[in-house]
Amino acid sequence: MKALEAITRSWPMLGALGAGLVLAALAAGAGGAMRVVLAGLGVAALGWAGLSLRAGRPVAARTVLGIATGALLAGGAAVAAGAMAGVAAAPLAAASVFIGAVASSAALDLRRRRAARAAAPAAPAAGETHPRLALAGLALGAALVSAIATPALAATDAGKLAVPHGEHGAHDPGHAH
Amino acid sequence: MKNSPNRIAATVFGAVYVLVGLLGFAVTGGVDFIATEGGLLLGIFAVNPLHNIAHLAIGAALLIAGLTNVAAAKATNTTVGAAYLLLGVVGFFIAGTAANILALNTADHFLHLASAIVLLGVGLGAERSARVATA
Repeated sequence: MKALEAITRSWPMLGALGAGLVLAALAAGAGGAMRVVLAGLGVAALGWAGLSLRAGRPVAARTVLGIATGALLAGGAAVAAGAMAGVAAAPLAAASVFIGAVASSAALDLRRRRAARAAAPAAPAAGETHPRLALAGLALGAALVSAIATPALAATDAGKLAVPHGEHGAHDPGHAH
Repeated sequence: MKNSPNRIAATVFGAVYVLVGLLGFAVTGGVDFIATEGGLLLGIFAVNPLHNIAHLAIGAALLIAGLTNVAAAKATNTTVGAAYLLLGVVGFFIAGTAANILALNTADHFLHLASAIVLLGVGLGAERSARVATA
């Protein structure tokens, strides 16, 4: 169980990095208030990931759970109301997966800490006792996040311009203007 | 070395990036130094000579830091990871413009993103006591 914990410990933070990137890319193609909201959420996700990686656990779990749940509900309501008609589905779905993973990890952390209050003093973090397993988990998590985030980023308005490079003389929609 | 995630990550990524940088020159013979459309490395990664030099420099920095000590590896991993993450974000804003000097494509984004996440993750998250000890 400790081994599994060492492998997956960093995944919520990696998911937040993915969320931050996709939200930032969506912000690049959005306008008005939506651009500000998406960019703000993206920057917040990137910042939370950095702080949590540094702390070795999800920081400000209660606040993050509230914001992530609120963002998912607001996003769902906006899609239902047709306000996101101009936004590609793939990046929205990817961002939702990442935000859902962050919310789940925050909820689990809150539950774990509540259960640990009556227990003995905390043991060293699994990542500290299994450094090589933690590194392998980090690499696996990074590959998973990249596998979800890269096509999602490519499907954003900004990402579509980056796809065709590297093909000499070939059709290049990125420069077809 | 064998028990330091930061040194392992820096050495492995450093070696891979040096190799990618060297192989890149084999496919960019007739490509302008900062061309926005480069050659294709391994058939998927678009590179140009500037990109190759960036890979070589970053790979060398990681390799040297990884072979030196934990503090150097940790600092270099964090810096390179953060810079690559920024490159991933900025890449979407400059793609398709004259400022696109890094020949970004989807495969490059995957490489940069995975590298950034691993390096930033190990730099910030592993061996936290090393940060205190070397502060």
